[in-house]
Amino acid sequence: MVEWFDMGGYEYFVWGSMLCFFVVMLADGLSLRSKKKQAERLVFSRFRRKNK
Amino acid sequence: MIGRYWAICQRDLLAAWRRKAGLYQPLVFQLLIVTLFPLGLGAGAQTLSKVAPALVWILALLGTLITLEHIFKDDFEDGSLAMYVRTDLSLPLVVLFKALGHWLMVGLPAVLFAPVVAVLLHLPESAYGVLMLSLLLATPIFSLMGAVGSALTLNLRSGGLLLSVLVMPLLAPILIFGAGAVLETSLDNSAKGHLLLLSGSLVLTLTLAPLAAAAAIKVNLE
Amino acid sequence: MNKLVKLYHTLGSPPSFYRIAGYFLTPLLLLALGLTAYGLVDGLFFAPIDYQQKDAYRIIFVHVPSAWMSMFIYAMMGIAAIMAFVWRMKVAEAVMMASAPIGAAFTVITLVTGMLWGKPMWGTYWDWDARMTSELILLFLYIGVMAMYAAFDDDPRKAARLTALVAIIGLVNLPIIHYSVEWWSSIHQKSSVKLTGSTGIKDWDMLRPLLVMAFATKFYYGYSMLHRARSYLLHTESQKQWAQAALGLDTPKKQNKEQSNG
Repeated sequence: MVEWFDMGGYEYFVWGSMLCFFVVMLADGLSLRSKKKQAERLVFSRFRRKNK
Repeated sequence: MIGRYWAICQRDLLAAWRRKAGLYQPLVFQLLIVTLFPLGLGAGAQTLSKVAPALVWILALLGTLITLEHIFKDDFEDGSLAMYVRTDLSLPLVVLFKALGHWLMVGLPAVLFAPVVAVLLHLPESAYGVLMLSLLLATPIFSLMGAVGSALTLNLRSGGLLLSVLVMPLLAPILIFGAGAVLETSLDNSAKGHLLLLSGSLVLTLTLAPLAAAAAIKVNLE
Repeated sequence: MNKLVKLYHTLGSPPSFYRIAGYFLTPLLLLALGLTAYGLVDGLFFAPIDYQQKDAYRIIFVHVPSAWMSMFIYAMMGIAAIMAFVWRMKVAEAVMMASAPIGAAFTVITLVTGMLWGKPMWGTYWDWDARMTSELILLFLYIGVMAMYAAFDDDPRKAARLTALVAIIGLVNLPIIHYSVEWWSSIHQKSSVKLTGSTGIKDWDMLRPLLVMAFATKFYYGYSMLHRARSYLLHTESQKQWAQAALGLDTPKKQNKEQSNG
């Protein structure tokens, strides 16, 4: 199993790059969800104010 | 016809002349940093003269950068910008003359002040001519790009940092050409290519920047 | 031609764009995830080793697709900005504003993975080489676009128009920046190991994961951009009836009408 992750001395750089890729992509995914929730909350609040 | 545009420029110059602070502030700013730099570098003349071409240029750039915000802001706040838009004046030409006013107030003094900074930084003597020439070509670009940045941010209360962020990528090539020209001369190489590219940039900016700034002003006043 | 014009008008209206984009989200995300998984497993474990850079070259499977995306997205954003500025299309504004954060994200990935590659290859994390420098300036362009929009919180339409202008100015300047930086670095330093140039990927087993990753990142951009554009449209059109209907909210007026009809 371990030899699968062996990168001939470059483990830190290769896996660090992969980690960076996934962290940034994950951050993007999380911000997508928060943006959507924010927009939905605004629509709901506008709706409630209009129909009071 | 051109007289009406010149009057706008003249009004700016007169206001600047009466206030004075706007004229010497960028130069004082440059002088302050020039004093700090050798102190921080802790080095002798040799290191200084190596970084001098870049430093003189960056200082002229920074000195201009701190004044850019006000190209249109004051006119916007007292309502005269809205008036220019409503008259039959062509807005890009107004921008051009506002930029000319700014160049005469800030750019030209910076060009004339550059040898003083250069002496303090031990710039090799052979490079003085090219330094002045490159700054003479580049300071109008600073004013024109600054006019675009100022037109984009004139509505904002604290647009200073935003303006720097917007303008910096646009001025990076200018710095490459300009500081490169001085550097090549100080190394006894020909700076012709750099200077030609700088003139090309000036022509391009002269044609496009007024249009961009006029568009930004129109959107801001909508 | 008529169909094309019709499609243009359909996609140009926020409600139908919102609806149609919704259908694409899940397929795009699945494609992106699947291709990423395949491409990275293939690239990291099965692609042959590079004789010159050894295993370190495997960083290109994220670095190069991200670098391509950082430029591709700026082009998309610029085109959307032109459409937003000239025709005042709300959907184009949404696409433009949705593209900026993803483009910035890919630019950050490119820079960080480039640094992680530079350390073993150049012996330093940061070298002022042409590609990295222009990538850094590209990041500033993205930041400028996002900061311009963020500075106006009261008037989104005006903010979008000014932001479009910033993006267009950046688009015009991008080639100048790129070539000036390239020229600058070619004068002042001998080119060291080029990150992409010298690897000379000719082996299909190396090229395949790279292309797969290029498609994966494109699909992810599609997903993320459409997702953001939908949120943007909901946000800016939150007072419109369609936005409320899209979230399953029906206005009482309409309900009354339906009741009186029935």
